[in-house]
Amino acid sequence: MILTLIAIPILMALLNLGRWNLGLRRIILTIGALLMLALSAALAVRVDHQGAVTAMNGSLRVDALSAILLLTVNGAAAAAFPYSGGYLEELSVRQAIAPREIRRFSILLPLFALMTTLVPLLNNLGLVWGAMEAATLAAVFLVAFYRTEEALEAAWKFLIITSIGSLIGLVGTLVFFSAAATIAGPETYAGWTALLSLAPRLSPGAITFGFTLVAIGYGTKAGVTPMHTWMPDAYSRAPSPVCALLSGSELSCAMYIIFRYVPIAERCVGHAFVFRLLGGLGLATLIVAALFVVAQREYKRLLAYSSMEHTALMLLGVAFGGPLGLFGAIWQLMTHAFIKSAMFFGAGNILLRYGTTDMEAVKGVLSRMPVTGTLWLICTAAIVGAPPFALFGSDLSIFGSAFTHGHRVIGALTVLLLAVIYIALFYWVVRMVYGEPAPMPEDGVASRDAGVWSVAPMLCLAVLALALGLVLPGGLRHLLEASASLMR
Amino acid sequence: MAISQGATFCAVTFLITVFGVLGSARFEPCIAAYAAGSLMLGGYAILISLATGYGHLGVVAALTILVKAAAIPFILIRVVRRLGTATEGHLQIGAAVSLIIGAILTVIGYAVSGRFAPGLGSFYHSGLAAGISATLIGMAFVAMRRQALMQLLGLLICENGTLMIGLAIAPDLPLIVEFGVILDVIVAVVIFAGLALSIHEVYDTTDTARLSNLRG
Repeated sequence: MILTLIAIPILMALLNLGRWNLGLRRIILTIGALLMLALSAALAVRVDHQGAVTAMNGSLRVDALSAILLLTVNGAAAAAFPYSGGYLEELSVRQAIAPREIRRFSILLPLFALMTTLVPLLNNLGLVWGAMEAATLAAVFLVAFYRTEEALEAAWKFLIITSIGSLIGLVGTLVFFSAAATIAGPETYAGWTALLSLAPRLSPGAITFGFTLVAIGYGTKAGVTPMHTWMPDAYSRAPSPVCALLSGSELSCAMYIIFRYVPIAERCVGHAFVFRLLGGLGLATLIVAALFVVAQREYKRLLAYSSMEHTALMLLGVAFGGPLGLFGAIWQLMTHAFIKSAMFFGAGNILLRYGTTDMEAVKGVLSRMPVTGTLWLICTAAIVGAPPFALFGSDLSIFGSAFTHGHRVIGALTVLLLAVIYIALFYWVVRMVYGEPAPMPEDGVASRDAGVWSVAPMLCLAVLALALGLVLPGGLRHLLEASASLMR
Repeated sequence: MAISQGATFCAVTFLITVFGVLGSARFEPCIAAYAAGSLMLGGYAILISLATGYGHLGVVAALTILVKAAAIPFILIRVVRRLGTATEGHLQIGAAVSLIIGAILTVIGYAVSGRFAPGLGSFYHSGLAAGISATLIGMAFVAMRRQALMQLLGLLICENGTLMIGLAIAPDLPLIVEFGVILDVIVAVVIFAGLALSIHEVYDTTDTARLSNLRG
């Protein structure tokens, strides 16, 4: 089953090599992504029933935490792939896109999905690094898709800054390798499980250093301050489905890798160090996100800073620790990916109609695009963690863990900063959604709401966010709890 | 003894080539220095392989030389020829200042290397110190240079430094990991080169100082 999961995106990329029209590509991408999601779900069920599943002599391994990430990245992809088809179709009505560009786009999308699927599957720190880096490389041309000056600038920044982050992460990985190599033979320590069992005997000095590098290095890809500067640029200039994937899949993968290193660091040097490092990074990221959300004028950048805020919350959840904090962090990872993807779909639909990312220039989305407008408003409520949506539960767990572990000041500061971000986010979205729309040329394109392919993925994700907030299925809860215990 | 001296020679020469890149404003000498540095990295891997008996390091050395001392410089030279020399400008931060910054980072690299992995034999220590210094200099180089290709070279130096650190502290790293890293690097170079050419087409320069539309 694991190998089939890997084969599907490869097959999708190969099928897209052909010179088909957009309609056929859309069908290939949609069917492939849905199959990947179905297989991920089947794997998750199996993991829930019988524990970790392995393939290829243990080189590929799925446990509860990797099952959660598989569901997250393939859930986000299953929405983003059909949406991409809709987005490209609407885009091609407005501006000429060369078939070559569409072909490249639909080949790179499944390759990106392949890499983000390999990250949870691989049971080797070094190879996980490789897959993560390859995902970034696949994303570069997706970010640069429009070939405008600004798109190229964003892609360049994305590449340079995240590559430096990657190298920092690689040095951190090497330090872990080296620490393990001194007490175990070669080829026996490269896996997560092996490293975890060696953890208490590793050199604390090396692990302190290595974990710091890993947190900063992989944190770069999740928008952790001070390496976050590529994020708003890339998110504002990339096509919206790509933003959804960067925020839903790539960010989640980076956080997952940090999560994987956490128990190793905790068993070696104790929780106090992990708390100081991740708590410090999380709080700094949250402060930067709050400042920039308040000062923001573009809605796609606004969403980028909102992603930083969620990264910060996940880090804080792990820093506060305990079953509650870890559960909250992992639950946040999953739900954020779904809801933020839906937000980016809405942003893409709005951008295609209004032709600007300036929030002052966008008014009356609800009257011009009733479906997108309504869904966008609902998703905003979901992303700020309003009850009864799923993020409410994860936010609450993280706050709860802060106060139960006696971190009252940081907990209170976190709540305050989140309140600032949520008010600013809601203020801007409400201004955009309501109000009198400026007169637009009635060219028959700008006046219509987005098509079914562009709206249905948003609707599915919004319903999912609501459903998961109301009822957390027993199997999923069990997996989340098992993941949290894997991180201790 | 001879192997140990050879390893130190490779590590020091590797670091000198990094300074070669730091001190030049022109692309082609920089690429040549990078190729020479990669050769030294390959040499270091061969010597470690001889000293430890890890056969797979021979493969790593061969791959390093093939990819980093031949293929990547070849691609970069082609990109430079296509862009023409018009893209070469004066240095925003002069060669002298760059070299001084490099020297400071080298001192830091050597100082840090003792704590990085304590108890390492002198054989590995030279590589570790050179690797850390090169990684730091590569990062500084990205910040100090504005041309897209120079930034790419900075990243490649950084990556070479990282590999040197890897050889020094984790020589028994499974081959497949090294393979993955090298594959990633070559893909990265192709993508970088493609993007640099696109930037050149759109902006008619590869000076990334022009890339300043996105703020805040």
